Amino acid sequence: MPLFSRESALGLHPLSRMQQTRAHVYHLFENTFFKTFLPGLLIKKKYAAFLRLRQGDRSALQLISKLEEIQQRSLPCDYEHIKRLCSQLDDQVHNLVESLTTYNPIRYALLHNYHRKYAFYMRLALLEDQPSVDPPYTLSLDTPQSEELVGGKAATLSRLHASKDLPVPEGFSITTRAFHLYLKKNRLREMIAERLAELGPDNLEAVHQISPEIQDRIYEGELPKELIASVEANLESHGFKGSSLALRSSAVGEDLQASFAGQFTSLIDIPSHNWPEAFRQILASKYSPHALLYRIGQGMSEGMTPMAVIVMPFIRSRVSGILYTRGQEAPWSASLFMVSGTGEDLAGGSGFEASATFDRSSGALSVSGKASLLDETLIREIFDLGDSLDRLFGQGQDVEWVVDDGGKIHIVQSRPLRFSSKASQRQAQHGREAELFTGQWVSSGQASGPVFRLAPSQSPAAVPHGAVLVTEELPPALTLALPKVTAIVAERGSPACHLASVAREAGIPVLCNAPQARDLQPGQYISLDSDQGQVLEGIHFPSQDSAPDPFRRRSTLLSQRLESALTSVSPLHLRDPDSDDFSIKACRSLHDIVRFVHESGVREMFSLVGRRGLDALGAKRFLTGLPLVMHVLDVHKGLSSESRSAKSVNTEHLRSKPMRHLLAGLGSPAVEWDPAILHYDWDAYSKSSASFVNVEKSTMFSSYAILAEEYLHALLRFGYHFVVVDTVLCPEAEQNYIHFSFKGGGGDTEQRTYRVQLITHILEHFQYAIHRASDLVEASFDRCSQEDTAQNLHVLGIVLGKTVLLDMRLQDEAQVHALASTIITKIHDLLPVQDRA
Amino acid sequence: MSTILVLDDVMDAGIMIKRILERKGHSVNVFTEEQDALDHVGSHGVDIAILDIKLKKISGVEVLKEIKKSSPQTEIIMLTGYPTLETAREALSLGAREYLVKPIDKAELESKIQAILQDRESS
Repeated sequence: MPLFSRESALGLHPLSRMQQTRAHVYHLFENTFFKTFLPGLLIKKKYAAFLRLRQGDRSALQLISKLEEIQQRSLPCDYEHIKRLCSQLDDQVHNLVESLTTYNPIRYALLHNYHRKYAFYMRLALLEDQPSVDPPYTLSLDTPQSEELVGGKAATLSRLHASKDLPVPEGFSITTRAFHLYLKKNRLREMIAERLAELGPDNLEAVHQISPEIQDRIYEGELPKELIASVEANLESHGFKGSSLALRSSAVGEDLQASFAGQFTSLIDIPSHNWPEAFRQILASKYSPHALLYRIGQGMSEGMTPMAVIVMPFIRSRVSGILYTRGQEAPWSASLFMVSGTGEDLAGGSGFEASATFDRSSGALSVSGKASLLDETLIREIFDLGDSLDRLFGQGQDVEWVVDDGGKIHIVQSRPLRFSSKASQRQAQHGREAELFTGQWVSSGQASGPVFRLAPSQSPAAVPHGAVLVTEELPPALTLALPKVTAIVAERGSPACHLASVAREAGIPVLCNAPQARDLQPGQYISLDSDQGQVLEGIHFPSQDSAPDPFRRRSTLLSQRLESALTSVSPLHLRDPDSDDFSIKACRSLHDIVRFVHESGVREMFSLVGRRGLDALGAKRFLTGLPLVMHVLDVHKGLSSESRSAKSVNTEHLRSKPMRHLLAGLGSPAVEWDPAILHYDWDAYSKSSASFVNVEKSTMFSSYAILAEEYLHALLRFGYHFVVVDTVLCPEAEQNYIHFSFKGGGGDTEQRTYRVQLITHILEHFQYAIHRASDLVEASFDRCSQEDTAQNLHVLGIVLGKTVLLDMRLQDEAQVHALASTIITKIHDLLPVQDRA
Repeated sequence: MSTILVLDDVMDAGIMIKRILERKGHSVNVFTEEQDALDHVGSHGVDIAILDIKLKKISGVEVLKEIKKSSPQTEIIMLTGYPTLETAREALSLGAREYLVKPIDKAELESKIQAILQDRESS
C-alpha cells in the first residue's frame, strides 16, 4: 500500500501522507474547478511547466553528452569540472522531475526516488577520500614514511635514509596533513574547488586567471599555531635553527606516479626563520598554471596530489648534477651531467659543463667537456652510488647529487627514470590529402567501409553489414542499425541526442554536421577518424584495426571513476515509448529519467484539452479566412502584442510558427474549401439544444488552438471529425515533434476505416510514424530539423483539409490507394518537397 | 545456495527481498528488530547480511560494526532509502561490500549477490 505507508521497498515516499492528500485534493480541484471555470490559467501553468521541461531536457542531454565526450575522448579537464557537470546534471534532472509533477503530482511522485537513487550512485562513484587534518604535521625522514603523508620525493628519501650506506642529508617533512590543515584553517578548500571547476576541456586557458587568484590566497594565509609549534620543535631537534635550509616540494604523486619534474618550487639557502614564507611559496607552486595543466594532463585530481614539504640543511655545493642509471637503448650504460655550483641552471634546462658515461658491463668510463670539474674517483663513486640506487629500487633512476666544498657526495633526490614513449601507434597513417571533408565529433573511433545511404523513409533494417551509414539526421531509430554499421556520418544532427549516447556506448564512430556527406556515392569506400573530425577517401582502417583499441583510453583512477559514474548516467533502457517497459520503475539511469520525463510531458500536453474543449475564458475568436470556426488562447508569444486587448484576431496577428505552417497547409489551394459550408462541431451542435447559439462566435462548437511562439496544441472540430495536433517547432531538431490524432466521426464503419487508410497512406509517404486502431489514427514525426518539421506541418494541414472535407464515398481499397496517390502528387506539385524515395 | 539475512524496519521491503532471493535458491531470514538480527548472526552465522540504515533503535552502520566484530566473514550490503555520502563512506570503510539505494531493483540485487558469491568461491 505505497499510498498509505511512508516507506516501502520503493524507498521513502516523496510525499508525506498529508502532502499526498493535499496534493490529491488540489490536483482534483485544479483539474475540475479550473478546467471548468479558469481553463486558461490551468493551461498556462501546464505550458510553463512544459517550457521548463523542454529547456531542462535540452540542458540535461547536453550535460550527459559532455560527460560522455570527456570520458570517450579522454579530454583533459580538472576533476572538479567533472564533479560540477555531474552536480548540474543532478539539478537539471531534479528540475525536470519537478516540472513533470506539475502535471500530476501523484502519478509521477515516485520518479523523485529514482532520480535520487541514480544521482546518488553517480556522486558516490566520483567521491574522493575526505582529507584528514589530524597530526602528524611533521615527520622525520630517518625512518621510512608513506607517500600519503610525506609525498613522493620525501617517501623515497626516507627509504634511502633507511639504507645506511647512502649519503642522504638528514631532514624532516612538513606533511600533507599540514597542507590540509593550512587550507582548512584559511577556508581555501571550497574556494580552490570552485575555481578549478572552471577548467573544462574547452576552457583550460582560464588557468591563467585562476592560478594567481589561488596563489594570492595561499600567500595571504595564516599558519595554524599547532603547525608552527610542530615545525619549530623539529628545527630545534635537528639542529637546523639559525642555519641555512633547503625546502623542497614533495607532492603525493610527484616522482612516483608521474614525474612532475620542475613543476613545483624548491628553494635553497633559506635562513631557518624564513621557513614560513618558503613553505607558502612551495604550497602556492602547486597552483602555478603549468603545474595545474601538468596535473590535469596526467589525469590526477587536486585531492590526489596534496603537497608536503621537505626541510633539509642547505649544502653549499662545488659541483652538482644529474645521473641517469640506464640508457634508453642501452640499459647497461649510465650517464652523468654536471655543472659547477648549485645546479639550478642544469635543472632549469640550461646546458652542462661536463658529462660522463659509464659502461656497467665493461667498466669503461669516458668523460667529455670540462674534465677538471670533478676528478675521476668522485665520478666513479657517483656511478657506484647510482648502481646501488638502481638495485635498491629495481629500476632505472634519475638521481640529483651534489659534491660539497669538502668533496663529499650527497644524494638529494632519486626518482624512477622515464623515457618518452614512442609516438602513439594509433596516429592515423593518412595525410591531409586523403581528407574529403570534415564533420563534428559525436562518438569516437576510426573505421572504414562502403557508403550506404539511408533515406528517412527506409527502415534501418535495410542497412547492410559493414557499411558506413550516411544519413540526413541522427534519429533514435538508427539504434537498430548500430550493430551492423562500422561508422555513421550525418549531414545534420548533434552530439547531444539519444543516438549519440547509444553510439558512444557501442563504440561506433559517428560524425555529424557534415553537409558534404550529401555528395557521397553509394558503394564508395570511405574512412572516418572521428576524433580528428575527418572523412577520408578510401580504406585507411581495415576492419581488424577498427576494433576499439583497449590501450587507447588512458586508464587512470579518475577515468575509472567517471566511467563508473556514467553507468548511472548514460545507458538508455527506455527506448520504445509504446512498450510496457516505458515506465518509472524501468528507469535505470539519469538518461532514462530524462527520456521518461520528456515523453510523459509531451503526452500530458497532447491530452491537454478534453473532447468538450476549452471554455471561452481567455480565448479569442480567430478569423482564419477559411470557413472554420476557431478560437485561440495565447500562452506565450503566440500572437502579436497589439492583439492583447482584441476580442478577435486574424492571421496577421499570428506569431506562432507551427500554427502558421499548419494554417498555410489548411489554406492551400489544394484543399478547395467550399465557402458555403461552415465547419464546426456538427455532431455536438445537433445533439445540443443550443440552437439559438451563434455558432460563429460561440466557443461551444468551435475549434481551438493553444499557441506559443514555438508551440501549438490544436483541437480541430471539422464537421463530424475530431483532430488533435500537438507540436513543437524550433531550431533544435531534438526538441521538434508533431503528434497528431484523428478520429473519423462521419459515415459508417467502412467509410471511416477507408478515410483512416487514406490519411495513413499519405502521412506514411511523408515519413510520419503511424499507429492505427480501427477508425483512430495517430501519427508522429519526431526530432527532425526545423525545415522538415515545418514542411510536414504544412503537409498535415493540406491532408487535414483534403480528407476532412472529402465528401466523396470511398468504394474500396483500390480507390483509397488511387486517391492517396493523387493527393500526394498534388502536394508535391504545390510544395518544394524533395522526393526522398 | 547461501544464507542471507535481511534487516529492515519496514517488513514490506524485507519480504520483497526475500521473495527475490529465495527464487534464486538462497535461504533468507527477514528481521525488523536489530537485536533479533544480531542474535541470529551470532547463533546461526550468515553468508550475506543486507542492512537498512534507518532502523528502529540503532543505525544500520552500527549493526554493520557489530556483525563485522562477531562474524568478520559475513559480507554486508547496505540498502537504504536515505542515502548520504557520509554514511556511504563510513559503511564502505567499515567493510560493507555494497551501498545500494532504494527503490530496490531485482536485477541489481541479484547481480550484486552473485558477484559476492563468485568472489567467495574463487578465494
